[in-house]
Amino acid sequence: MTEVDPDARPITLIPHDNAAGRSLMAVIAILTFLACLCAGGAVWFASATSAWGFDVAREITIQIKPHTGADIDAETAKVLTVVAQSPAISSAQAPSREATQKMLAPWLGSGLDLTVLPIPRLVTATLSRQADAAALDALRAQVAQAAANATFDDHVVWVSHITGAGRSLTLLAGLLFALVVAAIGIAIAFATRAAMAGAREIVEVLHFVGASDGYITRHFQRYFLLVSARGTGIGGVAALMMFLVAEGLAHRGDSGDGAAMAVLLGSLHLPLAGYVAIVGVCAALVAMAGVFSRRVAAAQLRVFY
Amino acid sequence: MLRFEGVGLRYGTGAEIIRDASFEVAPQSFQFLTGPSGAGKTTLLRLMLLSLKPTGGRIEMFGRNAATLDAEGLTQVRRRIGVVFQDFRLLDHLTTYENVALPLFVQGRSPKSYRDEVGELLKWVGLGDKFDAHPNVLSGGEKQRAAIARALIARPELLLADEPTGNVDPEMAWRLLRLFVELHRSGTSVIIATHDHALMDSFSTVRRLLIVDGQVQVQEPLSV
Repeated sequence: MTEVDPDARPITLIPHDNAAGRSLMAVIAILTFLACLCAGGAVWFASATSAWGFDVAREITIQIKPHTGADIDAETAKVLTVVAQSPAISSAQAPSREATQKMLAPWLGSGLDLTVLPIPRLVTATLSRQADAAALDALRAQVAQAAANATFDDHVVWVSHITGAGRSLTLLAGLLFALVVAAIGIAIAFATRAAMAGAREIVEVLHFVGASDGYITRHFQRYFLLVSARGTGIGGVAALMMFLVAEGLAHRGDSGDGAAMAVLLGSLHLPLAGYVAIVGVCAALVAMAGVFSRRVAAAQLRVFY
Repeated sequence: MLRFEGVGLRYGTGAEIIRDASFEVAPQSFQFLTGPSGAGKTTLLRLMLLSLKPTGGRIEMFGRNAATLDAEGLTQVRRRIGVVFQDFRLLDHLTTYENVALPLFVQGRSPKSYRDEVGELLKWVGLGDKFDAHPNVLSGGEKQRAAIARALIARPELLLADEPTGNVDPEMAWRLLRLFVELHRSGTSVIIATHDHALMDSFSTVRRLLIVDGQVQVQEPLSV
C-alpha cells in the first residue's frame, strides 16, 4: 500500500506543466527580450546623444577667409590672441601653415604653396567651464573686430541635429517598448481566457466543492504569475547578456570591430540606468501579468456563471 | 433544509424539463430521486446544487432564498452540500488522494490537518492502495468510489448523489449504500438519484421523489 507523505504538498489546482503554459512562457520570454532591448536602447540613445552633444558643444571653430589686401597670417594670430584671452575659452590653437599644408596634402598634393591659393585658416578652441551665451556673444564680436572675414562656428546647428536625431531614436525605442508591452498584455489576456476555457471543468468542480470565485481567481493569477516570472526572467537575462556582450565587443581593443563600432556609434557602454531599466521592466511585466490575469479570470468567471 | 416551490426549468425556448416542482427535504432525511432515463433527475439535482437557475418558482436552501444569494452566499451554501456526479468529475491532473482532499483544501485547511481523515476514508471505500493513482488509471468503480469519498470528506449536511452505484459491483453497491445510510444516521440528509428499482425496493421505508413528465411526485414511505 502506498503511504501518503506526512508533509503532503498543497494541491496544485491548475495543471502547471502543459503545452499552453510552455508556449505562453516562450512568447513572454521573447516579448520581454524585445521590451528590454527597447528600454535599454532608449536609455543608451539618450545617454550617447547627450555625450555626443556635450563633446561637440565644448568646441568652437573660427574660419578666417583670405581677402584682397589682408595679411591672413596676421589676422589668424590676432584672432588666436583674442580667443585665447577670452574667459570663455580654456585652450585655443591655430594650425600652422605647415600643419595645414600636411592636412591638405592628400587632396592637393605635396610641395604646396598656400600663399597662391585662397585657403582659409582655422582657429579651434575648447570652451571653459565659465562659457555661457553672453561670453560667447562677446567673443563673437571681438573676433569680428579682429578679422572682418572670420566666421564663428559654435556647432549649434550640428548639436541640434544630433540631439534631434537622438531624441527621435529614443522616442522610437520608447514607442516600440510601449507596443511590445501592449502585445504582452494582450497575450496574457488571451492566454488567461484560453486557460480558463480549457479549465472550465476544473472551475466547475472547484465551485461544487466549495471554492469561492476569489479563491479560484487567485489560483489562476498565481499560475500566470509563475509563468510570467519564468518568461520575463529568461527574456530579461537574455537582454542583459546581449548588452554585456555588445559592451565587451566594444571594449575589445582600439582596433578591429570594437574600434569601428566606437567610431560609428560612440561608446556602447550601457549606463547603470539601463540595467536598472531592464530589471524594472521585468518586474513591471510580472506585476502587469498578475493584474491582467486576475481581472480577466474574474471577468471570465462572471461569463461562466 | 431544502424547499422547492413551483419550480420550473426550460432551456431556451424549449419545453419545460421540470414543471411546477414543489417539495421539501427535511434535515436528516433519506430519499431516492427516481424516474425513467431522461426524466430530469440530473437536472433536478443541478437545481438543488444551485448550478442552474430556475426559470420559475422559488428555491430555498438552508433557510435562504437561492435567488438572492450573492457569490459568497452561494459558496457558503455549496460547502454544506456534497455531490457525487454521474460522470465522477475527478480532476485528471490530481491523484486520488488529492481529489478526495480537494473540498478540505479549498476551505483553507492545511494538508497535514486532513491527512488522516482522507487516508481513512480512502481505505474505507477500498482505495487504500490507490492514493497516488491518477483518475486515468482507475476503473469506473474506483472512480465512483473516489467521487463518493470526495463528496463525503467535508461531512456535508446534504448529500446529492447521481447514480452513485451505477459503476460498481453489487457487493460494493451495498457497501456504498450502507455508507450513505450511516451518513444519514449521523445527521446528513441524503438524496440518491437512481433508476435501479431493485436497489430502491430493498429500502422500502425510504421516501421517493418520482419525476414523471417533468413533475415531481412525492411518495412517502409507510414509516421511516
